[in-house]
Amino acid sequence: MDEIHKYFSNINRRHFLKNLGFGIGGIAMGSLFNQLGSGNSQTLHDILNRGELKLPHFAAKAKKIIYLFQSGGPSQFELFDYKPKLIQFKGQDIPESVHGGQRLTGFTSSQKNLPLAGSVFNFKQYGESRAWVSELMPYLSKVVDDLCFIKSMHTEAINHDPAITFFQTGSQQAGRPSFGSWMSYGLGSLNDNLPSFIVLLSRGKSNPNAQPLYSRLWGNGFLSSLHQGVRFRSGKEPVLYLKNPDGVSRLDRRKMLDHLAELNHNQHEMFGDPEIMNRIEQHEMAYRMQTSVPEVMNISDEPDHILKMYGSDSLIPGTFASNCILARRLIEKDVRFVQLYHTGWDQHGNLPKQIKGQAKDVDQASAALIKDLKQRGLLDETLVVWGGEFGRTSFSQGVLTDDNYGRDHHPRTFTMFMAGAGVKAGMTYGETDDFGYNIVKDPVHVHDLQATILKLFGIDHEKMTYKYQGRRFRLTDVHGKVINDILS
Amino acid sequence: MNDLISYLGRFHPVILHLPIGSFILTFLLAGLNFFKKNYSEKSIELGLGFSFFSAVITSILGFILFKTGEYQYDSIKIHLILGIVSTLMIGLIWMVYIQKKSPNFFMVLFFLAVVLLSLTGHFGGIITHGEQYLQFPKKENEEAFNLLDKDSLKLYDEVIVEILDKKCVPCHNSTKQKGGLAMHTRDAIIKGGENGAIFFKGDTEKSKLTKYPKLPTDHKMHMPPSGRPQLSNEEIYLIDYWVNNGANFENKIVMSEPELIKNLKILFPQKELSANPPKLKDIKNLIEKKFRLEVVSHASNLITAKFMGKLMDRSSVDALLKIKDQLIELNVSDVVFEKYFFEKLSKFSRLEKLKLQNSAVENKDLEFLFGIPLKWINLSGTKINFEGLKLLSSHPKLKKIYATHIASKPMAKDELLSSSKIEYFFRLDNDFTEMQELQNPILEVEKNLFLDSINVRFSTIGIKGNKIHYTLDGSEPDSLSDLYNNKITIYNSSKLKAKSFKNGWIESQITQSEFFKVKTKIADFNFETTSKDYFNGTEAKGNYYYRLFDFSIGNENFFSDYKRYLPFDSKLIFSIDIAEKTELKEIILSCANNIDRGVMHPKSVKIFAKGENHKFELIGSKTFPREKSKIFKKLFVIPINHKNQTNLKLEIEKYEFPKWHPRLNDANKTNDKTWLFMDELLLM
Repeated sequence: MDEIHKYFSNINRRHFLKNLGFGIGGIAMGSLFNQLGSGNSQTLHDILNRGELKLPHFAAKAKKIIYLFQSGGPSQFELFDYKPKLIQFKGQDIPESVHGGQRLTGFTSSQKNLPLAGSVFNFKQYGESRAWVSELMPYLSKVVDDLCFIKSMHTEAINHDPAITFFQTGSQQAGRPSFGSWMSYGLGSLNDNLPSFIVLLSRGKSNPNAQPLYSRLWGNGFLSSLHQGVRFRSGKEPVLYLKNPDGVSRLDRRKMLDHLAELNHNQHEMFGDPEIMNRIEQHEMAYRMQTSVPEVMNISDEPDHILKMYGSDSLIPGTFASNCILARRLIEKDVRFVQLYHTGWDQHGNLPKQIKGQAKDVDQASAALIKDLKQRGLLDETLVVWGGEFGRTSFSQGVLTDDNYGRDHHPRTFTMFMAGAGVKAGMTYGETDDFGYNIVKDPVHVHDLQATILKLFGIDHEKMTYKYQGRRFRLTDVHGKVINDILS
Repeated sequence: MNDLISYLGRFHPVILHLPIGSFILTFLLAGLNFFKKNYSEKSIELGLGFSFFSAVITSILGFILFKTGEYQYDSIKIHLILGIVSTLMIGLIWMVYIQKKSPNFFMVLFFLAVVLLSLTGHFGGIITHGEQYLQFPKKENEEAFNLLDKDSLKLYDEVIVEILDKKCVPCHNSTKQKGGLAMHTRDAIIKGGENGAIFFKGDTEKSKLTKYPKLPTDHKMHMPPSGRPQLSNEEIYLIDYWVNNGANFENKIVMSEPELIKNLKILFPQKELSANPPKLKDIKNLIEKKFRLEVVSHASNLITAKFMGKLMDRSSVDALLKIKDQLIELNVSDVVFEKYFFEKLSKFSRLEKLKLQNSAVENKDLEFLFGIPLKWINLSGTKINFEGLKLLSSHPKLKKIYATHIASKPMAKDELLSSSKIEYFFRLDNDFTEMQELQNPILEVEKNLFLDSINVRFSTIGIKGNKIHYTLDGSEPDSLSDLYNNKITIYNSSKLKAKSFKNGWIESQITQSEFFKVKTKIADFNFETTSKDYFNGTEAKGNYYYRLFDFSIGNENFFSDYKRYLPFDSKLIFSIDIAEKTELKEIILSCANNIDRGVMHPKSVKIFAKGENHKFELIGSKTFPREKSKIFKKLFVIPINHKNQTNLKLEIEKYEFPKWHPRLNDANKTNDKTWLFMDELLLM
């Protein structure tokens, strides 16, 4: 039905007039045609809701999301999943009954021993919710009553790229649309002057040579290119090629775009390729972004106490802290999906030292972001998600010493947390066994998490589909169940 | 009465369908016969006879049922009389028909009897199904949706009654009282059944109300009886909860226990609020007036709106009024509007969320908020003060108030909190963070060498009131040192050190850099040995040699600053032409050292000058002892005896690996060469 509609609305009034060359009668016919195409069946949702699917299906708890992706696989054992047994049995081999011959990566599959390694960092319980947090996260431990920990996350992939791709697109193979693109497709943008899906990257200072991230992680896949994520860089030019070249005024640019749009319209009438219309829209968006982007990226108007709250890192463009402030500013400007990536969480060796640095990079700013959103009333409509692509093993990769060890990739258990709109605050969901190796209660698969997040946005994950190459695709593929227990 | 007979009474509700069915069929046949005369009169006679006979049996069974005592006479009186009258009437018609007296009179009687029979059936139905049975289904109560939004609820009125009505009252009511128990009113429940009270406050073990539903389903006392709709786990939990908490009919309970809320949620699933659709014309008008609207979901017509303009005039407010029954959320933050907006605000009967931050709202406007079901309001950045919040604290629906322009004064805050259940959000306390260290100033310089003077700038980074103090003599800067303002002009060779300062922050680390005033530039150069790429050993192609004379110095980490360095893996010999005739005192080589990476500093330097005899003569030489530290960047100074010659030649020898170095022990000997990394030549 939709395709027929699109076809008819493509044959618009102008098309009709031009091709048939009718006079006044043509105008009448043209408008009649247009009405037949879409006019009459227009509903309230068609007019107002901007996504291609005119979602939400049901009333949303969350309107916006900040996804703080911790790339590399942060070790749950040093941050949130407290396992005293690992300290007690330190150095002993992990029992066969626990690891059950699970596949290991090439890093550890040839290792003779798999000695259990407990965290060298101390844990304490915080807040009214008595959540366990390690000493590496002194600031997050102050906001635990706003967080909902999921300690029973599990995934299918065991290596970085497939695992991140799985999290962001619902498939280990590249090519599907990313989370933010799906949202943009289903729900549309909340504002006119900025993209609805924006990506900000930062590097872990203690591990600057971490795995790279690929721009396809925020790609639109088979969805319209309007839905792709736009990366904002740090520094003087947040979006490349956005500035007018020297000697070109804004007025010149306007004229150029108008002429270009006219040419594109002609082309579109000839071929009817929807991507041509997308291109026009993207040019217009870029034009509006010439003023909206510098405004939102200039944090010099942030008051002192806010900068202090996010930490002094926030003064250096391109750091996680500075990206967190930007995320909040973008949310204030009604950007739907702000995705941060912080790299460097891949501690195969030298874990205690590196993870300390990683935690320092993100702890204060993550906590500050939640506090800041909360005081502004934004946390009531914004979801914050924090987590990596998988967890780490409870045994040491490489030699275990008193103050040094490493951990390999571990897809079977890891911890994430969410906060904000529609999520229960001060909750811990799911449990892992004493070795933190397997889930013993309430497992949450990546697809479950995706389905749950979509539910918060009023989307039935089974109904948000796109037909491509003869079948309907979903973010959650053919899986995913909503974890209702963590919804408020 | 005999058990068997009273058992037979139970067949009354079954048998009663026989006389009704057969009588109506006969009525149909008689009617057709009245007009067309083509149906056998015998069959009509038989039909009437059968109807009468079955009506008599039904009446007797009905009477037996009444006599068992399950039903009160008052409640079945009409049904009983009507039943007997109808039965007699059918008999009368049968007699009249057999005598074939008057067909017209017969049809009138017949019709009357059908009406009587219908009435009997209706009143009978009321006994078994209740009076509400035939009422048109009521619209879902909106309160049911709001149940979970409440802070407290009357458990009996709002929850227990619903459960009892659904599951118990069908058999325990004013007309039907199994076991002598009625449960349709509070009094009836308190009164209990023939065996006494059905509940005891706080005792779920003793109370039949809570005990019987938990018995095994095949137990004879299990309630509701098998075959009837059973109580769900949630319903059992809630009735238990009610009994445990004193089985009070009036008291309100606080919705705080998660278990209670969970069970309520399952039992009363939230239904989405909805509204009548607005007119599309009004919607389009609003869009033209710069409102950004969104429908809450597919299932509702509720709308959220944000005003995108700067000034919301009267006509915009009027346009908005057209969707007053649909508007659930309004964002007019940073918007200028007239008082008119507040005057009309009470008309928005659905408005729950209002974003007013940075608007011109004042304390006295807040009274207009009382007529609307507002739950959430943001007043940050407005003139609203504590007085205003106090006024607002008696709002019946409000749950969250944001006022982050107000610093929370502990005293005043307590006053607000004790007087209402509203959650307040004030400006964040400062105790979240400790003092933070400022970032050190970032130097924006391309070059460290200059001839006359050089301007040095710091890039401005986003903190207001951040002051940079600096020194040029190598001493540590403090807040009394020179204040940086836009730029620093340096006229002599100096060591710049700078720090950021700001009240309330810890001063930054030092940023430092050295600047050299050199005597002259180099006009031309000629290298006899070639520079090679450190990583792949290929000869440098293109003009990289200028790196030694570009007036810019690299940093210690030559990997990150590779482009500033010129690497050599052999002895370095080159000559230079000096731009001006001037007397030089010394020549300085700027070199990096990293022994692990095979980068070594110079061992000896010889400097020649071409005199008037066109021959190079040695004018200076120096040997440098090997440095102990592994990684560093250093200036190597060679004093010269120079007399205005313009053509100089340098020969630089680097250190080889010390004997212990692992690269010497490398079996392949591929990597046993050391490198000289030089980034600048200074003519002083």
